[in-house]
Amino acid sequence: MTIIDEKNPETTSLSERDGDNLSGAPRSASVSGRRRILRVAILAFFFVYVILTLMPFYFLFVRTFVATADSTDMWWWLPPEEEVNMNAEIGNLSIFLNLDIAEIKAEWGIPLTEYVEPRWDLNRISEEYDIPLETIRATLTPFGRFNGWIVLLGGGSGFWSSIGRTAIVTALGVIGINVLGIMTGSALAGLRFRYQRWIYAIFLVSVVIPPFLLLLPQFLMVNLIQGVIPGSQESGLVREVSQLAVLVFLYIQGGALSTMIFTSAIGAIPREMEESAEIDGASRWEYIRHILLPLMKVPIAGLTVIVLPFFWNDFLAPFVYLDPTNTTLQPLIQSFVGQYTTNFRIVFTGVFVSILPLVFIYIIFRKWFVAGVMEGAVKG
Amino acid sequence: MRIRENSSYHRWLWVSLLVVSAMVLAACSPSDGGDTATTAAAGGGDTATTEAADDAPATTAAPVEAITLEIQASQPEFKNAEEQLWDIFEAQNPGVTVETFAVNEDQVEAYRARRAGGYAPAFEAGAMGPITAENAANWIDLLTVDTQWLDRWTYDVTTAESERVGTTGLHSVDTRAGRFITWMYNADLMEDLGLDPRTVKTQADLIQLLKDGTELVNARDDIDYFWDQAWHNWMFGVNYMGNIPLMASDGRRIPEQQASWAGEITDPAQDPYRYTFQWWKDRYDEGVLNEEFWLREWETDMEASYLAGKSVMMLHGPWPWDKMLAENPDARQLGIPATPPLVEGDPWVQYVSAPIVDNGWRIPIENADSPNFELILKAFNFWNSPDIVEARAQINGQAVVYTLDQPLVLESPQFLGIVQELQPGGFYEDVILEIDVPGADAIAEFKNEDTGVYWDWQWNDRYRELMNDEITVDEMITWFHEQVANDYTLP
Repeated sequence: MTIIDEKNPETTSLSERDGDNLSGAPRSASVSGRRRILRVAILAFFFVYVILTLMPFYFLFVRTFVATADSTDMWWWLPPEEEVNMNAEIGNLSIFLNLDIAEIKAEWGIPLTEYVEPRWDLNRISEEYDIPLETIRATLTPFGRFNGWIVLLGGGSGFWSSIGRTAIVTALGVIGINVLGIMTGSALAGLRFRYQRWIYAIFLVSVVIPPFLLLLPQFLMVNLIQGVIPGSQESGLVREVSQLAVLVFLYIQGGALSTMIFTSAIGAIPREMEESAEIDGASRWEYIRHILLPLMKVPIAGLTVIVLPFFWNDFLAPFVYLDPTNTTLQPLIQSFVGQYTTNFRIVFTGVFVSILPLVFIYIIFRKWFVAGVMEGAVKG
Repeated sequence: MRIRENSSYHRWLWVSLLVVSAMVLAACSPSDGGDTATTAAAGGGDTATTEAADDAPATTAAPVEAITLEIQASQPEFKNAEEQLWDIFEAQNPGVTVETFAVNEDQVEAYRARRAGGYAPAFEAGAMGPITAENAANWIDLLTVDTQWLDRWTYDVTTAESERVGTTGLHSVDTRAGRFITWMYNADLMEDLGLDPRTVKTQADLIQLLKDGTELVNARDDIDYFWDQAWHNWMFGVNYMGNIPLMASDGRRIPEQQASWAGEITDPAQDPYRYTFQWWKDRYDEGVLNEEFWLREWETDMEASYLAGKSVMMLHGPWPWDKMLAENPDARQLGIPATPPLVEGDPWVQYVSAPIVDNGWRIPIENADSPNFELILKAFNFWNSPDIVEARAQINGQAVVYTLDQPLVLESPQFLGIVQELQPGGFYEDVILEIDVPGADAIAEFKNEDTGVYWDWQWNDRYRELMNDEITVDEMITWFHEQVANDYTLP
């Protein structure tokens, strides 16, 4: 097939233009070469982009192994493993490496009620309690490099309970804000009663109120409510559960974002659908269950994508409303910062580990999130 | 369609699995406060037979209900070490679990909010701020209950608080003696540079040492700073401010500083803090002080640099001495007193903060009606008993204002590196120790409510301006007095 290039009256075949003709025509070869270079350049660009995106996570991971003393250096890979220094004082190890002395005593066969002088070094402990030096080395060697990981993931740090609380609060928050958002949106858009616009506007006004302004009144209200719950002022299950409930309540309370998303989404559904459902004998609940909810996949996915990391990574609300012994991930990580000292390995490990569940969730549900958004894009 | 439904079903299964896993984790895993769950599981809550715990010999395993006492650690750093002491208490009191919690300086406001909301631990340290005449009723008057060991304090602890802050009774106690802020240095690096800080006798010697050291370090690639300095509100606003005037021989000591805070010195030329501000300004102009030190991070820049052997000297308190040993147990550290005299032949004075009489351990008043009050008091007395006080002193490396059963032989690195040299027979035995309350503490009773702490005033902004010649030392002093006037109602 032959075509005419209007700008260049010379005729060229399609196969030549596509670069398929490898018979040696110099022009087509250079076009093909340029395309290859372009492709390689684009690939290289995205490769660099991906590397730059992943680099902070990589360095964060490496930093989980870097001791405070080495923290001023740039580390491209894990620092070399150091031998246990037997001149180290057990008190200093417990303070600055966050070691749980009770666990170590148990491992070395020292009774829990035996007070080990914090200024004793490991050599002296070996002598006093007749513990082989190799046993002490074997116990402490992993802490040289994996201090952050062992302490954080060990039972004493409170990590597992805090990640559990975070997951519960986040899950309930995400479910709750979607359910309440749908109910609010349904009322504001679906029912279309007289003052709907005014109420909608009032919801939106909350956007302009800085959250920090609400902190004190919210705190006072929560105190007032918690004050009437028996047992909430004493340590125990009631107090813990009521504090977590407060957190969930704060997350799902009527917010502008969920109201806006669901009111718009439900408002876009033709009124006739609801009317035809009514004609077919569907109750209000059946309409919501079988017609409205399936259509809400897009806004649910959108809202979830937005609020999920916010709930998971929230620091302020749990910091204010939860006891240190009943806290979630971010305040727990912050608690590893000491008044005069910080064990950077634990902090970095905490930050690194705290993002893993979110990444995990996004990987599992990515098709769902993307499908939801794309569905909306196609339907307009 | 069938496939889509299954896929959706699986996703919801994943969600359910995640939520259930989270619930299992939260419910079953041992937490920092996991013992509260144990308490609840035991069904004991806080209703307990304290008499059983009181009367039971240490080895008696009488069945008692589970009781959890929440007790604040003295500092976040010492939480783990102090738990070892509470293990002993738990062993002596079957059924009792002590949960320690720490309140870091940036968690204080959140903690106070929780306390305002009605939460009360068994007892707490200084997170609620100093005792004042107005707030004293929030804690139990220790003179009205069976508080033991009060005769062990080396001063009359029963009257100290009322004399200092005008309260009636005694609401907090602290066994810790004063704190030393001194020069500290990496002795190996100092030797490597060929310098000997022990030749310093005057301010001129000190300044020469700083200049020589800076010059030597600038010629090397392996050390970043000779004297490394970063910003810390509390260190600059409280410690450096009160320490540095002591280098002057003309009476710029603590009583004069108290007079400055009390507004009795109005002429900037006579103000003792002139020495502080001028000293920083001069060192900055000489180039021995870090560029823009007010922007440098205290821990992540300055301390980390020292621990890594990339700086030689710091002007610091007791904490990094141990921190260095934790990172490098073989490190050799020594120190010199903070303020060599300006004039040769004048006495060398080292400031030591006064014992804490209004910001120590205390029992919230909410516990007065608790069925566990006797147990709480028992724990409080345990905490202040001689053996435990001695152990605590070794943990935090600080001397005590408390008569122990045997002399306290501190083994903390700051004590060994400098403090013991200030004692008779030590290298710095002629140095005079100035022990008194800082000027701000002297007027603590006149502080306005809700005005925050004075070291959080915008000191770093003012220092920036002073170092950049945007304000003068006189203007700095005037600004300081304006802050005092704003935050205090002086008689």
